[in-house]
Amino acid sequence: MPIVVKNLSYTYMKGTPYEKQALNDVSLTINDGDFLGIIGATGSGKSTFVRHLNGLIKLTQGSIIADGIDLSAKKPDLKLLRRKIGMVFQYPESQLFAETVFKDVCYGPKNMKKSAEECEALAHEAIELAGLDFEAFKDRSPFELSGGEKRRVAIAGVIACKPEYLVLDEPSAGLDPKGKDEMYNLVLKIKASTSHTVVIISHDIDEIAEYADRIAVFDDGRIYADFKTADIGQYADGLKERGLDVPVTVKLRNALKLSEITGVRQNELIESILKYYKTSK
Amino acid sequence: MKDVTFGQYYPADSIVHRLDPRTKLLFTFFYIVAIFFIKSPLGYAGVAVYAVAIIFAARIPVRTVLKSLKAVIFLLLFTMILNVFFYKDGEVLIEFWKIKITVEGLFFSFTMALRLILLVMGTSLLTFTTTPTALTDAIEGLLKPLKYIGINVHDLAVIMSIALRFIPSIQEETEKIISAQKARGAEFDTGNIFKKAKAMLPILIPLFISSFRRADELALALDARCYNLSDKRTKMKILKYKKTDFAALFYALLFVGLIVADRIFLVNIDIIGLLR
Repeated sequence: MPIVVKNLSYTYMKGTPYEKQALNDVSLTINDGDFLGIIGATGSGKSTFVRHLNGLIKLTQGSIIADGIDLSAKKPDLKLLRRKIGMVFQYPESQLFAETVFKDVCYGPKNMKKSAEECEALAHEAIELAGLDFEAFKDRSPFELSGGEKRRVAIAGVIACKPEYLVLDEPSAGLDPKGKDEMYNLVLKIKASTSHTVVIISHDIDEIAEYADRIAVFDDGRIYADFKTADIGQYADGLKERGLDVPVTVKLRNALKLSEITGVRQNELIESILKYYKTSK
Repeated sequence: MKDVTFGQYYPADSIVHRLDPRTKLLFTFFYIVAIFFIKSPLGYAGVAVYAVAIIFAARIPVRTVLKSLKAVIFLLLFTMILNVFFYKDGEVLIEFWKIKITVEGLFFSFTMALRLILLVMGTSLLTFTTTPTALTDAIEGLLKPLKYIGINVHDLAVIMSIALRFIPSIQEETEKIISAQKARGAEFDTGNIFKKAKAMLPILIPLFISSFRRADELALALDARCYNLSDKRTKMKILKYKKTDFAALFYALLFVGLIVADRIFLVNIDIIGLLR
């Protein structure tokens, strides 16, 4: 079932001089199987938006029906909601706390009252899915790992709960180019196996255009545009006006100014350029 | 926590905001002394008038000031109830079992509560109108004489400003970690007290780790910029007394007058007798 957000508004520190409207009448539907990328400048409301999805911020204005759970109800079943919607925060490695990787990854399943055997099985699966060797890592302290490994453990801790939806807030922040690619490939792997719907926040348009199928652009608490990645060319000017960039691939495509050359993703673009030159020769 | 306004700066453009922070600190000092020395209800009325006048001069909404009392409401009720029940002297109003409620007891607990309210209101007024940095500067300025007995006042000021600087950062970090663990199904408000305490561990451990890491990074950054405590440092904003500061200090002296008047005249006025 989809996540339907309607007319969502939110103001931080209401009634104080620090009052700030973070979201202003946002409506968005996240469908099953979506790989949705959310982009926007700093302070455009992206994080506030996704925090609403699993009830970390209490709904004050508007409505959200997440997988059939109505968040405007008096007492929505937040436990069930959080089991369904997994959330990977920015720099998730800062949430690690247990003395071993295994115990940390088990934290979520344990909170869901799973038995010891189930916890072990879920942790095993999650750690392997996150690209780490279960036997080699399970008894190590999460604090002695490298930055990239820590982040994988933290992500394993979220996917161990087997959420149907996975929301990631800038999962590639602070990683090197290789680490970024690995991170997105990991997300694709997770999408193929446990969480079929993925929402990623980023302000790197290249990353988003490369991997996401659909893009929502936040601007000053509103949604400026919501489109299929392939159509991003139409929004190039609007993105620039909002302090955002256009993917390199789109820039290249526009520079070549050949209508036969299509594709937004690197491999698509290369293919169509090659095809063009082969046919024109 | 977000509703507690105690200790938060409230930006506004007012005569009180513009005062030298040292003046405000001294003023608060006199104010607190007055509250502790004054005995008579009339004296308290005087202090209350003072406090209210400053709140208006500072252009802070009364609601915000009242909100600062939220933090101590439990303490307030607790002392009031204790005083009402255990004040033994005076004319008995109601008596049951071993407890006597007397007119004087009610009156006394009322003054105690008023004292606490005035104390919190006055001190939060200081933080409402003064930024943490200005406050540290003021403390450094006022403690300067301690230099002569070998205490590095600047050191203390830096430590204090760093501590103050990190309160919001750590608060933010705490909120983030709580959200992250909640997203993994953590519950902090169920079970008995031991369960609740145990549930706090996944928050406290990452918080400690990040705080230590922060402290480490900060120390490195200080070192990298050749921060040296023994050097004579200059300031970007030099504090300077203005005319309004002297006026404010004069008003602060009125507190001393109020204490004297309280001790000599006001204590002898029998309010309860007059009310009857």
